[in-house]
Amino acid sequence: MSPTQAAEIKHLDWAYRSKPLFRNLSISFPSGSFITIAGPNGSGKTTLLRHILGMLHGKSGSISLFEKPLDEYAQRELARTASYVPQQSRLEYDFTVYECVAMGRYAHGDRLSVLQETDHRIIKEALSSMALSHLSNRISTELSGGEYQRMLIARALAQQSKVILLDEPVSHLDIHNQREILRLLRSLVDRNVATVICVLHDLNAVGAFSDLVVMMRSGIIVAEGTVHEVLTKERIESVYRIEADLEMDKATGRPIILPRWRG
Amino acid sequence: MVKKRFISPLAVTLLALLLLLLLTAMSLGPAGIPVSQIIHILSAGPQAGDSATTFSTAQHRIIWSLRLPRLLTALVAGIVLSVSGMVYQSLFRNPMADPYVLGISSGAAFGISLAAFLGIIGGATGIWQVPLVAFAGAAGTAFVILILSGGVRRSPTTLLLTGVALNFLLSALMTLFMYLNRAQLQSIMQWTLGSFSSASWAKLGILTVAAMIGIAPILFLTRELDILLLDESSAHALGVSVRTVRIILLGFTTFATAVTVAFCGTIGFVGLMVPHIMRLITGPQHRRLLPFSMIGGAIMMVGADTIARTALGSSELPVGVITAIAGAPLFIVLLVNTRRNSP
Repeated sequence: MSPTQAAEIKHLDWAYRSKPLFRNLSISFPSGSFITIAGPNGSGKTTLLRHILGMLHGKSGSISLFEKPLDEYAQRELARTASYVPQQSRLEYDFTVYECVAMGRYAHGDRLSVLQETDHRIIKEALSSMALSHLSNRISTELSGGEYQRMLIARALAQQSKVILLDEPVSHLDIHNQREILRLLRSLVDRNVATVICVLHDLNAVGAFSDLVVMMRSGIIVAEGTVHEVLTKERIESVYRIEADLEMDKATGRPIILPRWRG
Repeated sequence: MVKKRFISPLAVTLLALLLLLLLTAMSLGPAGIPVSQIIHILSAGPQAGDSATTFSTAQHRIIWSLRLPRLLTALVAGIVLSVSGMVYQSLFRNPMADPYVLGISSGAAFGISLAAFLGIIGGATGIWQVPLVAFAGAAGTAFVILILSGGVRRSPTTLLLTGVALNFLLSALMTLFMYLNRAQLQSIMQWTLGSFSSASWAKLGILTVAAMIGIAPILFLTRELDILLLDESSAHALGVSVRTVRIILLGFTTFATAVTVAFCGTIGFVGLMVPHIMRLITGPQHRRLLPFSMIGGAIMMVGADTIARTALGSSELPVGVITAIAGAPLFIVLLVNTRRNSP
């Protein structure tokens, strides 16, 4: 039996201001995996995530989450199924870290009720798994970039959704924080907490952490499969229009991509 | 830094302050009545004017027919404008948004002026008609602003400038009506400057019902308001039906604001100032911010009306002048700060 599809897109057509981006696009994201979406700027990665979350609606085609059509989900039910960590979202208001993560509980329980015992337990667990417990009373606007990003992931965890979609969660962080966050995400998949669908730019990170890779360019899926199937020298060179060397990390068996910056 | 927020003692203090302010305000005016006597008058009830010995019939009438309905009208208007300002600021994610700044209040006044000009409302108008045309004007203006500013997603500046431009246009049109029909000049002026001098128990009754209708949904939507302070996609992904919640909140607060304008005229800067000051105390969570904005709005408006009523001795100032003198500087501070923070 094939694994459940966390998300499945069939024959999606979508245009932005009469400029078509997706034409008959079909792709599925099996549950229980760490799936990355890579590709040059403007290839439609964010747009694809927004379709899966029901924020954009194609002209034709169908999208389903866990075998159920997206348009049959109520808004709050959808939030209990899929959560989202947007790109570069910085809150200007002085909510504490705890209050921000607590927003993840909105889709659960009675709409009008205040947070219950269970909610507080789940919020605390989410904070602790993102190593944020000591910062829970801190004002969110005072966090560093890495801490803020971990808070957004904790908020997604508090939603207890089966799949988490992340849009470039590490692109403005230093290497240490990039690794921390990607390791935390990887452990969510390994512990069967959630399926992760993540847009990433750094191909070395893609190679190191993914189970499956989707490579996009100009609204077209040029390749999908395992790291070794997708990240080949030829494909990277043609998709990104660069020259690159590709080596294998002997310890992990994962590819190391070295773009040639000059010459 | 860890911020701790102790709120209940403060709420009690503010309520006590409001009560004290109401008593003081009732004693002030052309006929000064000592606070001790006011308590007697109030406890005697609205009908007991003749039988009492501790105060005169005139004093009883001044309190029960003039000052009390007026002060309570100011109190309710302050609550409505302050809560509306809070909701607008959160919905538009803009610290400067408020029904007055965005021209919604002017829209309500314009609706009244237009109806008066066309002869739809006039001398013997029923008490219900003015709020209705005010709501039509306010809703129409809100709609035009949303269309012209490209909805709520555009930059804060676009939204504000659209509101300012509409404010200019509506003021010009109202001035035009006044010149074309000089007989109505006085009554139109009354709505553009704001005043509680025509307050009555009947109007207060309608205003209070409108205020309760307008504010009730907000009590149930405080979590949604918190989440709407995030970007739109985050709010959506957290499970908030962004569009529905926005329409409900905008509709109900606009309604309450319009009814307030219908009875009290346009009064600016209360909706801008109070939520800001209260946010500094309570933090951004609406569950806490809402009650504090209500108390703060009441204090601010009762205080402003008392100053407007007594500062010049015999004659009255429009209350909007007092709130503008207090609030406009804050608006400029916010504008400067927003410009500094935006990229």
